Amino acid sequence: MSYKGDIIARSGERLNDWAWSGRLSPRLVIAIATVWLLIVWTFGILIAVYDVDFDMVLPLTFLMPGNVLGTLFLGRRQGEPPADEWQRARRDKAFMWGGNLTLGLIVLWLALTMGFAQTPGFWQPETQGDWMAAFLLVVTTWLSLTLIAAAWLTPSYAADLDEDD
Amino acid sequence: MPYLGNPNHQRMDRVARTLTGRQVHTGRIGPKALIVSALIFMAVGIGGLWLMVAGSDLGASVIYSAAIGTLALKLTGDWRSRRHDPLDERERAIYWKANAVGTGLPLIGVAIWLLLLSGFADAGLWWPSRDFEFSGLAFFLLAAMLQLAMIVIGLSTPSYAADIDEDD
Repeated sequence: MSYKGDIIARSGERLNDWAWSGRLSPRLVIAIATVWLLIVWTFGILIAVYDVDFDMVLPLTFLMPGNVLGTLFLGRRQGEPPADEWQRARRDKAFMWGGNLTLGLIVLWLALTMGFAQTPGFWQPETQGDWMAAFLLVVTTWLSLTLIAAAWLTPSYAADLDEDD
Repeated sequence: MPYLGNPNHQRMDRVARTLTGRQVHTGRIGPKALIVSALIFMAVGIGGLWLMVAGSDLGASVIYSAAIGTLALKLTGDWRSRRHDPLDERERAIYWKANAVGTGLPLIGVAIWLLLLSGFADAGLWWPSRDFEFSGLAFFLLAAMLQLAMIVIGLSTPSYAADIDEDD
Protein backbone atom coordinates (compact mmCIF):
# COMPACT_ATOMS: atom_id res chain seq x y z
CA MET A 1 0.00 0.00 0.00
CA SER A 2 1.47 3.30 -1.04
CA TYR A 3 2.13 6.09 1.43
CA LYS A 4 -0.55 8.73 1.18
CA GLY A 5 0.93 11.32 3.48
CA ASP A 6 -0.23 12.53 6.83
CA ILE A 7 -3.93 13.31 6.79
CA ILE A 8 -3.65 16.15 9.30
CA ALA A 9 -0.82 17.82 7.39
CA ARG A 10 -2.73 17.40 4.12
CA SER A 11 -5.94 18.81 5.58
CA GLY A 12 -4.14 21.80 7.02
CA GLU A 13 -2.44 22.44 3.72
CA ARG A 14 -5.70 22.14 1.81
CA LEU A 15 -7.29 24.67 4.14
CA ASN A 16 -4.33 26.99 3.67
CA ASP A 17 -4.50 26.52 -0.11
CA TRP A 18 -8.17 27.34 -0.06
CA ALA A 19 -7.57 30.44 2.04
CA TRP A 20 -4.98 31.65 -0.46
CA SER A 21 -6.92 30.66 -3.56
CA GLY A 22 -8.65 34.00 -3.87
CA ARG A 23 -12.01 32.45 -3.02
CA LEU A 24 -11.74 34.19 0.33
CA SER A 25 -11.59 37.84 -0.57
CA PRO A 26 -9.78 40.30 1.73
CA ARG A 27 -13.14 41.79 2.72
CA LEU A 28 -14.41 38.38 3.82
CA VAL A 29 -11.21 37.85 5.83
CA ILE A 30 -11.79 41.23 7.53
CA ALA A 31 -15.40 40.26 8.28
CA ILE A 32 -14.44 36.84 9.71
CA ALA A 33 -11.66 38.32 11.87
CA THR A 34 -13.96 41.08 13.15
CA VAL A 35 -16.73 38.62 14.06
CA TRP A 36 -14.12 36.41 15.72
CA LEU A 37 -12.79 39.34 17.74
CA LEU A 38 -16.32 40.33 18.81
CA ILE A 39 -17.14 36.77 19.92
CA VAL A 40 -14.02 36.51 22.08
CA TRP A 41 -14.50 40.02 23.52
CA THR A 42 -18.15 39.25 24.36
CA PHE A 43 -17.00 36.10 26.20
CA GLY A 44 -14.31 38.10 27.97
CA ILE A 45 -16.70 40.85 29.08
CA LEU A 46 -19.24 38.30 30.31
CA ILE A 47 -16.50 36.62 32.36
CA ALA A 48 -15.42 39.99 33.76
CA VAL A 49 -18.92 41.20 34.63
CA TYR A 50 -20.39 37.98 36.03
CA ASP A 51 -17.27 36.82 37.85
CA VAL A 52 -17.68 33.23 36.69
CA ASP A 53 -15.82 30.17 37.89
CA PHE A 54 -12.58 29.15 36.23
CA ASP A 55 -14.30 26.13 34.65
CA MET A 56 -16.52 28.50 32.72
CA VAL A 57 -13.47 30.13 31.13
CA LEU A 58 -12.19 26.89 29.67
CA PRO A 59 -14.67 26.90 26.72
CA LEU A 60 -13.10 30.21 25.74
CA THR A 61 -9.74 28.51 25.41
CA PHE A 62 -11.27 26.24 22.76
CA LEU A 63 -11.55 29.34 20.61
CA MET A 64 -7.78 29.72 20.61
CA PRO A 65 -7.12 27.51 17.54
CA GLY A 66 -9.10 30.12 15.62
CA ASN A 67 -6.23 32.53 16.16
CA VAL A 68 -3.76 30.01 14.81
CA LEU A 69 -5.94 29.28 11.78
CA GLY A 70 -6.25 33.01 11.22
CA THR A 71 -2.51 33.55 11.07
CA LEU A 72 -2.32 30.85 8.39
CA PHE A 73 -3.46 33.58 6.04
CA LEU A 74 -0.12 35.24 6.64
CA GLY A 75 1.80 32.12 5.74
CA ARG A 76 2.45 30.58 2.36
CA ARG A 77 1.62 27.35 0.61
CA GLN A 78 3.92 24.38 0.68
CA GLY A 79 5.99 24.22 -2.48
CA GLU A 80 5.47 27.87 -3.34
CA PRO A 81 8.51 30.09 -3.81
CA PRO A 82 9.45 32.13 -0.73
CA ALA A 83 7.39 35.24 -0.09
CA ASP A 84 8.44 38.12 -2.31
CA GLU A 85 9.35 41.59 -1.07
CA TRP A 86 5.80 42.88 -1.30
CA GLN A 87 4.39 39.94 0.67
CA ARG A 88 7.06 40.24 3.35
CA ALA A 89 6.47 43.99 3.63
CA ARG A 90 2.72 43.36 3.93
CA ARG A 91 3.27 40.80 6.69
CA ASP A 92 5.65 43.06 8.64
CA LYS A 93 3.35 46.06 8.25
CA ALA A 94 0.35 44.00 9.38
CA PHE A 95 2.18 42.77 12.48
CA MET A 96 3.31 46.34 13.17
CA TRP A 97 -0.27 47.64 13.11
CA GLY A 98 -1.73 44.73 15.05
CA GLY A 99 1.01 44.96 17.69
CA ASN A 100 0.96 48.75 18.00
CA LEU A 101 -2.81 48.92 18.43
CA THR A 102 -2.89 46.08 20.97
CA LEU A 103 0.01 47.50 22.97
CA GLY A 104 -1.70 50.91 22.82
CA LEU A 105 -4.89 49.37 24.25
CA ILE A 106 -2.93 47.68 27.06
CA VAL A 107 -1.18 50.95 27.93
CA LEU A 108 -4.50 52.81 27.81
CA TRP A 109 -6.04 50.25 30.15
CA LEU A 110 -3.07 50.52 32.55
CA ALA A 111 -3.44 54.33 32.54
CA LEU A 112 -7.19 54.03 33.23
CA THR A 113 -6.54 51.56 36.03
CA MET A 114 -4.09 54.02 37.56
CA GLY A 115 -6.79 56.71 37.61
CA PHE A 116 -9.86 54.66 38.44
CA ALA A 117 -8.44 51.85 40.58
CA GLN A 118 -10.32 53.09 43.65
CA THR A 119 -13.56 53.78 41.78
CA PRO A 120 -16.23 51.21 42.58
CA GLY A 121 -17.35 49.32 39.50
CA PHE A 122 -14.08 49.64 37.59
CA TRP A 123 -13.08 46.15 36.55
CA GLN A 124 -9.68 44.75 37.46
CA PRO A 125 -8.57 41.14 37.05
CA GLU A 126 -8.59 39.39 40.39
CA THR A 127 -9.51 35.74 40.03
CA GLN A 128 -7.83 32.94 38.09
CA GLY A 129 -10.55 33.16 35.44
CA ASP A 130 -10.05 36.91 35.04
CA TRP A 131 -6.35 36.47 34.31
CA MET A 132 -7.01 33.70 31.81
CA ALA A 133 -9.61 35.87 30.10
CA ALA A 134 -7.15 38.78 29.97
CA PHE A 135 -4.54 36.50 28.37
CA LEU A 136 -7.00 35.31 25.70
CA LEU A 137 -8.18 38.84 24.98
CA VAL A 138 -4.63 40.13 24.51
CA VAL A 139 -3.59 37.29 22.18
CA THR A 140 -6.83 37.33 20.18
CA THR A 141 -6.84 41.11 19.81
CA TRP A 142 -3.23 41.09 18.63
CA LEU A 143 -3.64 38.32 16.07
CA SER A 144 -7.06 39.42 14.83
CA LEU A 145 -6.00 43.04 14.33
CA THR A 146 -2.90 41.77 12.51
CA LEU A 147 -5.09 39.65 10.26
CA ILE A 148 -7.45 42.56 9.58
CA ALA A 149 -4.47 44.79 8.72
CA ALA A 150 -3.05 42.13 6.38
CA ALA A 151 -6.38 41.76 4.58
CA TRP A 152 -6.73 45.52 4.42
CA LEU A 153 -3.33 45.78 2.71
CA THR A 154 -4.17 43.06 0.16
CA PRO A 155 -5.70 44.31 -3.06
CA SER A 156 -8.77 42.25 -3.95
CA TYR A 157 -7.28 41.24 -7.32
CA ALA A 158 -4.07 39.87 -5.76
CA ALA A 159 -4.92 36.27 -6.60
CA ASP A 160 -5.46 36.99 -10.29
CA LEU A 161 -2.21 38.79 -11.09
CA ASP A 162 -0.43 37.30 -14.07
CA GLU A 163 3.18 37.84 -15.08
CA ASP A 164 2.14 38.62 -18.65
CA ASP A 165 -0.45 41.25 -17.74
CA MET B 1 53.54 80.06 6.19
CA PRO B 2 50.65 77.92 5.02
CA TYR B 3 47.77 77.25 7.35
CA LEU B 4 48.27 73.84 8.92
CA GLY B 5 44.88 73.50 10.56
CA ASN B 6 43.99 73.57 14.18
CA PRO B 7 45.67 70.62 15.90
CA ASN B 8 43.11 70.71 18.69
CA HIS B 9 40.28 70.22 16.19
CA GLN B 10 42.10 67.35 14.56
CA ARG B 11 42.76 65.65 17.87
CA MET B 12 39.15 66.04 18.95
CA ASP B 13 37.97 64.67 15.61
CA ARG B 14 40.23 61.67 15.99
CA VAL B 15 38.91 60.97 19.50
CA ALA B 16 35.29 61.36 18.34
CA ARG B 17 35.85 59.05 15.38
CA THR B 18 37.50 56.46 17.59
CA LEU B 19 34.61 56.56 20.04
CA THR B 20 31.66 56.61 17.66
CA GLY B 21 32.96 54.87 14.55
CA ARG B 22 33.58 56.15 11.06
CA GLN B 23 29.98 57.30 10.55
CA VAL B 24 30.44 60.25 12.83
CA HIS B 25 31.15 62.47 9.80
CA THR B 26 27.93 61.42 8.06
CA GLY B 27 25.73 62.84 10.79
CA ARG B 28 24.05 59.48 11.31
CA ILE B 29 24.27 57.38 14.41
CA GLY B 30 26.14 54.21 13.54
CA PRO B 31 24.15 50.96 13.82
CA LYS B 32 26.42 49.62 16.55
CA ALA B 33 26.14 52.81 18.60
CA LEU B 34 22.35 52.62 18.20
CA ILE B 35 22.24 49.01 19.44
CA VAL B 36 24.52 49.73 22.40
CA SER B 37 22.52 52.84 23.39
CA ALA B 38 19.25 50.89 23.18
CA LEU B 39 20.73 48.08 25.29
CA ILE B 40 21.91 50.57 27.93
CA PHE B 41 18.43 52.11 28.19
CA MET B 42 16.92 48.61 28.24
CA ALA B 43 19.17 47.64 31.14
CA VAL B 44 18.12 50.81 33.02
CA GLY B 45 14.43 50.01 32.32
CA ILE B 46 14.77 46.41 33.50
CA GLY B 47 16.62 47.64 36.59
CA GLY B 48 13.74 50.04 37.29
CA LEU B 49 11.19 47.27 36.88
CA TRP B 50 13.20 45.07 39.22
CA LEU B 51 13.27 47.86 41.84
CA MET B 52 9.52 48.40 41.39
CA VAL B 53 8.74 44.70 41.83
CA ALA B 54 10.96 44.68 44.91
CA GLY B 55 8.72 47.39 46.36
CA SER B 56 10.99 50.42 46.01
CA ASP B 57 9.40 53.82 45.32
CA LEU B 58 12.38 54.68 43.13
CA GLY B 59 11.66 52.00 40.50
CA ALA B 60 8.98 53.88 38.57
CA SER B 61 11.17 57.01 38.38
CA VAL B 62 14.04 54.98 36.94
CA ILE B 63 11.64 53.54 34.32
CA TYR B 64 10.39 57.06 33.42
CA SER B 65 14.00 58.20 32.92
CA ALA B 66 14.78 55.19 30.70
CA ALA B 67 11.58 55.76 28.69
CA ILE B 68 12.27 59.48 28.14
CA GLY B 69 15.88 58.75 27.16
CA THR B 70 14.73 56.03 24.76
CA LEU B 71 12.16 58.34 23.18
CA ALA B 72 14.78 61.07 22.71
CA LEU B 73 17.18 58.58 21.09
CA LYS B 74 14.46 57.19 18.82
CA LEU B 75 13.27 60.61 17.70
CA THR B 76 16.85 61.77 17.08
CA GLY B 77 17.58 58.65 15.06
CA ASP B 78 14.37 59.00 13.05
CA TRP B 79 14.99 62.67 12.39
CA ARG B 80 18.56 62.06 11.28
CA SER B 81 17.63 59.25 8.92
CA ARG B 82 14.87 61.32 7.29
CA ARG B 83 16.58 64.67 7.27
CA HIS B 84 17.77 64.57 3.68
CA ASP B 85 15.12 62.61 1.85
CA PRO B 86 12.13 60.34 2.45
CA LEU B 87 12.79 56.71 3.39
CA ASP B 88 13.35 54.44 0.43
CA GLU B 89 11.78 50.98 0.02
CA ARG B 90 14.50 49.16 1.91
CA GLU B 91 14.41 51.63 4.79
CA ARG B 92 10.63 51.41 4.97
CA ALA B 93 10.77 47.59 5.02
CA ILE B 94 13.27 47.80 7.90
CA TYR B 95 11.02 50.31 9.69
CA TRP B 96 7.96 47.99 9.44
CA LYS B 97 9.92 44.94 10.49
CA ALA B 98 11.51 46.78 13.42
CA ASN B 99 8.16 47.96 14.71
CA ALA B 100 6.58 44.54 14.19
CA VAL B 101 9.30 42.89 16.28
CA GLY B 102 9.35 45.79 18.74
CA THR B 103 5.65 45.42 19.55
CA GLY B 104 5.54 41.63 19.15
CA LEU B 105 8.11 40.71 21.80
CA PRO B 106 6.61 42.86 24.63
CA LEU B 107 3.18 41.46 23.72
CA ILE B 108 4.45 37.88 23.92
CA GLY B 109 5.97 38.79 27.29
CA VAL B 110 2.67 40.25 28.51
CA ALA B 111 0.76 37.18 27.27
CA ILE B 112 3.10 34.74 29.07
CA TRP B 113 2.95 36.86 32.22
CA LEU B 114 -0.89 36.91 32.17
CA LEU B 115 -0.92 33.16 31.63
CA LEU B 116 1.39 32.72 34.63
CA LEU B 117 -0.75 35.10 36.69
CA SER B 118 -3.79 32.90 36.06
CA GLY B 119 -1.95 30.14 37.90
CA PHE B 120 0.29 31.95 40.37
CA ALA B 121 -1.45 35.24 41.22
CA ASP B 122 -2.55 33.77 44.54
CA ALA B 123 0.99 32.55 45.19
CA GLY B 124 2.24 36.14 45.15
CA LEU B 125 3.32 36.69 41.54
CA TRP B 126 3.78 40.44 41.11
CA TRP B 127 1.01 42.57 39.69
CA PRO B 128 0.92 46.40 39.98
CA SER B 129 -1.17 47.58 42.88
CA ARG B 130 -0.02 51.12 43.61
CA ASP B 131 -0.82 54.06 41.31
CA PHE B 132 2.69 54.70 40.05
CA GLU B 133 3.26 51.00 39.42
CA PHE B 134 0.58 51.03 36.72
CA SER B 135 2.17 53.99 34.94
CA GLY B 136 5.63 52.49 35.49
CA LEU B 137 4.55 49.27 33.78
CA ALA B 138 2.94 51.20 30.91
CA PHE B 139 6.11 53.23 30.34
CA PHE B 140 8.25 50.10 30.61
CA LEU B 141 6.22 48.44 27.82
CA LEU B 142 6.40 51.53 25.58
CA ALA B 143 10.14 51.90 26.19
CA ALA B 144 10.73 48.19 25.48
CA MET B 145 8.84 48.58 22.19
CA LEU B 146 11.10 51.44 21.08
CA GLN B 147 14.31 49.80 22.35
CA LEU B 148 13.64 46.54 20.52
CA ALA B 149 12.70 48.45 17.36
CA MET B 150 15.99 50.35 17.52
CA ILE B 151 17.96 47.14 18.01
CA VAL B 152 16.28 45.59 14.94
CA ILE B 153 16.98 48.75 12.92
CA GLY B 154 20.61 48.59 14.03
CA LEU B 155 20.93 44.91 13.18
CA SER B 156 19.29 45.38 9.75
CA THR B 157 21.45 48.33 8.75
CA PRO B 158 24.83 47.48 7.25
CA SER B 159 27.58 49.60 8.74
CA TYR B 160 28.55 50.93 5.32
CA ALA B 161 25.04 52.17 4.56
CA ALA B 162 26.11 55.79 4.62
CA ASP B 163 28.94 55.24 2.15
CA ILE B 164 27.02 53.54 -0.66
CA ASP B 165 27.48 55.36 -3.92
CA GLU B 166 25.26 55.07 -6.99
CA ASP B 167 28.32 54.57 -9.20
CA ASP B 168 29.86 51.77 -7.16
